[in-house]
Amino acid sequence: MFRAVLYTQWKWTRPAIMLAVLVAGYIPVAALRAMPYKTESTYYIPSLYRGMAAASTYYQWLALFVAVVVAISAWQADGHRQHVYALSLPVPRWRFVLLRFGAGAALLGVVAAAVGLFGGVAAAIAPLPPILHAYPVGLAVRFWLGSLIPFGLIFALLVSSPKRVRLVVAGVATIVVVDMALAAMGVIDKPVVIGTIFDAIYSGRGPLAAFLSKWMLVDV
Amino acid sequence: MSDAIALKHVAYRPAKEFAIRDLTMTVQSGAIYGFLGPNGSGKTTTIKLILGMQDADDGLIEVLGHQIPQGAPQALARIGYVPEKVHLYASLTVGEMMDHHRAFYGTWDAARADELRRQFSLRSEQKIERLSKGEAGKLMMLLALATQPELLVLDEPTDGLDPVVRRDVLGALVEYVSTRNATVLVSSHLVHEQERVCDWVGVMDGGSLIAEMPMNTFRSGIKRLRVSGAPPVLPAAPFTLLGRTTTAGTEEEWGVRGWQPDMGAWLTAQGATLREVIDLDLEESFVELLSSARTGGAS
Repeated sequence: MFRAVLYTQWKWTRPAIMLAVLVAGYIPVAALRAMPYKTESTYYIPSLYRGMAAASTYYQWLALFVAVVVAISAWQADGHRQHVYALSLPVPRWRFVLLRFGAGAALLGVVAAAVGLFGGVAAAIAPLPPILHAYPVGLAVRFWLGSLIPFGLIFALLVSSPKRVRLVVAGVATIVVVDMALAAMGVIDKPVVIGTIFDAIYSGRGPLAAFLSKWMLVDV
Repeated sequence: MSDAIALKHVAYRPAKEFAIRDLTMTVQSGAIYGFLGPNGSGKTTTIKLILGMQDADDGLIEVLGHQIPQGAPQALARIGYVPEKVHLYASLTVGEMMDHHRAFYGTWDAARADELRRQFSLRSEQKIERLSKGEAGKLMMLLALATQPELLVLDEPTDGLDPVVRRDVLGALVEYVSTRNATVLVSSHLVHEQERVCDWVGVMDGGSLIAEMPMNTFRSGIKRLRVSGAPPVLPAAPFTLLGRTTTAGTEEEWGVRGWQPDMGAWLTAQGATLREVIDLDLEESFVELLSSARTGGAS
């Protein structure tokens, strides 16, 4: 059953996954090729570190891209037909949702594996000074977990009924408007809701906090 | 005989302007039940309630011994469903769709599926998005039959298909039912098609089941009478008067249900003269029944 669901999702996301694998291979190569200094140079280590820090952003964008595509594709075909086929299958709804989620997570794992594999190859080829170490497996795990978070959020939104989504969006919009109105009327100093939401999502233990830290292939 | 499908006092309001009201309906095991009704009468909604795709607001639904929606997955494992519109994954090929479907049904008969694929002239590598309406209809019927279901639920399965494809689809259905003694619920607004294959009939209109009876009773029980000299107000009749319209002078046409030849004496007792009893075909009976339901009947 899982294989059948995985196959459909692979078929729907194949171009995006293959593109992501290619990009995953290109990022470390591009980062290392962009080194302006030779290994003997005193600037080599800081330059390599900066290069890897820049590559971190590309990994994050890649994770976000692939997560969005895989999440949307998971339900697009069912959504087009009002989920009639899925609902007519002899499995409980929660199980079908889990099958779709699992298949999406597995496909993200393919890109994460490519990140780890190509990162490992690139790090093996590049001369690393003793102070720096390559973490291809750690990067791959981080990439996978990082991509699972936006995937899970979008997936959950798409699984919800349109009515529930409209309710949530309307609720948040109302709170934001009231917050801004209160600030405009001088009841509060400045709008606090948007900043609080942003902090809740990105900082500390927020679901997208991982995207603010560095995803380093090479680190101390 | 046990019931394959039983609905008791089911109510469901999917939209402000439409509701299923107090729907009680029974499909006996082994029956081929024709589910008739004009477009928008609630046939598809009722089918979705039966399959657990939508949850009723009130009432009881039991399918193959399973309460719906709680037991829907168990019931669906024994049901072959062909929906009104193509519901398959467009980007898959015929072969991939068959493989996908097989993964969910332990009862999948691979040999029969291949046989049907050849019989329906479908190629494994054909993409579903490029299939004609007829080919897609045949593929949906293939998927339903290859799971060897005890109950087939077909929602307008031949709507929009050309006569050749319709013959192929109905042929495969009749062959399956005759060998397996399966129960069939087939909805359609094509009355004549139902007449050929069904042994029970239920008629939906405006979200209510307005009639449910054996096909023979439906076919022979509704007549049009030409009557003259009938009083405007009638006492309780031994038949159901569906409607009466004045045609000329004191002459009227009556639509009646449950007519028997010896009931002419009752008319004579009312001072009326029975001029003619006109047999109606199924489509005329269906129209008579619908117009009676919409006007509230004449008695």
